[in-house]
Amino acid sequence: MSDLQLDEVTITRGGLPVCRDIRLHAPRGEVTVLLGPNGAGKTTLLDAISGVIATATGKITLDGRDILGLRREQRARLGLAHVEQGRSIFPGLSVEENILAGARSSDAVHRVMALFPQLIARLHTQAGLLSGGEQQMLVIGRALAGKPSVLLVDEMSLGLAPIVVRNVMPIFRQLAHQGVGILLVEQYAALALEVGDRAYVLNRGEIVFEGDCAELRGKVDVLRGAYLAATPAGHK
Amino acid sequence: MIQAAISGFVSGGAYATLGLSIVLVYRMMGVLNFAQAAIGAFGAYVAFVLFEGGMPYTLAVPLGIAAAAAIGALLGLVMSTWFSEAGAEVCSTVSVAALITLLAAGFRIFGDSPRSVPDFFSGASFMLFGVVITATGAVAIGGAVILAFAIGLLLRRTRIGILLRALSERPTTAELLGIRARRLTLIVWAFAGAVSALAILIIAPTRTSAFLGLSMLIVPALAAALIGLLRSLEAAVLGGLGMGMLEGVATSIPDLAPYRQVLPFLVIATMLLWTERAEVWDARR
Ligand SMILES: Nc1ncnc2c1ncn2[C@@H]1O[C@H](COP(=O)(O)OP(=O)(O)OP(=O)(O)O)[C@@H](O)[C@H]1O
Ligand SMILES: [Mg+2]
Repeated sequence: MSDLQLDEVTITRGGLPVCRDIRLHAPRGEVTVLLGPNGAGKTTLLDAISGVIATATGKITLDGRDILGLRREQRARLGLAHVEQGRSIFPGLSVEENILAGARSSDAVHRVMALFPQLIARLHTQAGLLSGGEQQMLVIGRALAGKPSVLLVDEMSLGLAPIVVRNVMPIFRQLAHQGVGILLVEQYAALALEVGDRAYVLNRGEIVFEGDCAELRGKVDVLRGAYLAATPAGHK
Repeated sequence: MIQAAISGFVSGGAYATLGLSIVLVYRMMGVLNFAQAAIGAFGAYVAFVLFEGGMPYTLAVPLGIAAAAAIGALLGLVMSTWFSEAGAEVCSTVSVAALITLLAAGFRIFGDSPRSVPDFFSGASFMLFGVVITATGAVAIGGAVILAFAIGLLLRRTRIGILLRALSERPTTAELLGIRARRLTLIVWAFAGAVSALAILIIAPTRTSAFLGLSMLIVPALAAALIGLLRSLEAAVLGGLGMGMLEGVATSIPDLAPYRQVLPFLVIATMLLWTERAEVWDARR
């Protein structure tokens, strides 16, 4: 089985359970969208999958293999890539070096440039000097340089111009077409639902909705209801 | 005067080399390692003891260097296992604990009496521009310069250099890319340990080489590293050389000689004050 599967995953942070009893399936060849309001636990969930946080219990399998006991780099070497929230470039390294740091084959720089031609002119620029949009492209490109089988992307759109987001989203579609499994975390639903196959809505650490993106697109009220459930009592 | 300064070549080269290993560990691992000289001294002492036991020096030296590399790697293992999420302050404190442990262990294993240390180049020297330069001095200086150059080149031009810099800038992100952080960490610590042993081995014949005294060479080495603000390899080498030569001059002036040990403290204090004033410290964080 080629995919990412979470079963009864509970994650504690600072002694409190931030995500509870999560079941989630992100198959290869599909874009799975994870939506939810601020503080819902989306980042926490991705962090637990990639090993940034080591306090998860339950079962997380990648291609049928339990990865919960593995270190971060071991999970990465099994084909898991995690684009962290915020632009996690290596600021002192050049664009090319950033890509090489994530590369597992010699044609990596080439492939990334084919995907993001805007970066060609900046190849030898320090990554810290790039614009926000360029940095986000670099971070995604760097993750792809390692030829992942499952890609986790956290709030790619944050701080990016809508036009840039619109340019990047189809790339996920294209990757899924090549067999990569993608788990896309987004706070702003509309664009993500356009490219996604299945969607989960996370709310105060629990999955409150699961369904097809197409289905969810038509049901704004379902989405709103799910989000509203997260607001403190009294605001309803 | 010039001859006096030149007599500081050996110390200068050793300070520079120790300073280099301190800068390397600080830049790559974020740890100010106060035990760096003690690790080198431990390795050097292993070589001395093996030599006294009848082993040829050419065999004892590599074994001593290997011992220092192993101790360095062990400290690196401790750091990466239990203190990988801890800040620079905690890690540096751990290195002080390591220094104390090494001093105690060294005292028990090697005793406190100075060793008879063979001079590898048996006092060979040559004349250049009318001053006498010992072979040891030339090797110490040349070695430090070449080492700085080689490390710089490695960090900038090789794949392992890219991975190391990535790891030092964002350890978690580097691990998420599949970079084998632990392995790289151990390599850096072991390399720094080996280099420190070399530095101590070269300076030991010129000193009364008790274990404690050699371990305390961390002070001038730190001063050298601080001249490069713990970042610049080149400045650390120049700083080390400068300090060695100043020390040589101070030694030749009878009124100053007793106070020459104070020199590195002056340099350290000056550098710290200057960095505070210039807010370089702040900008780096
Ligand atoms: N280091 C931490 N220790 C304890 N609790 C934390 C920690 N980091 C986050 N939390 C809590 O975990 C919860 C989920 O945070 P998380 O960052 O996963 O949310 P998110 O869904 O990614 O939100 P956003 O959309 O704002 O990025 C929040 O309530 C937050 O207060
Ligand atoms: Mg988040």
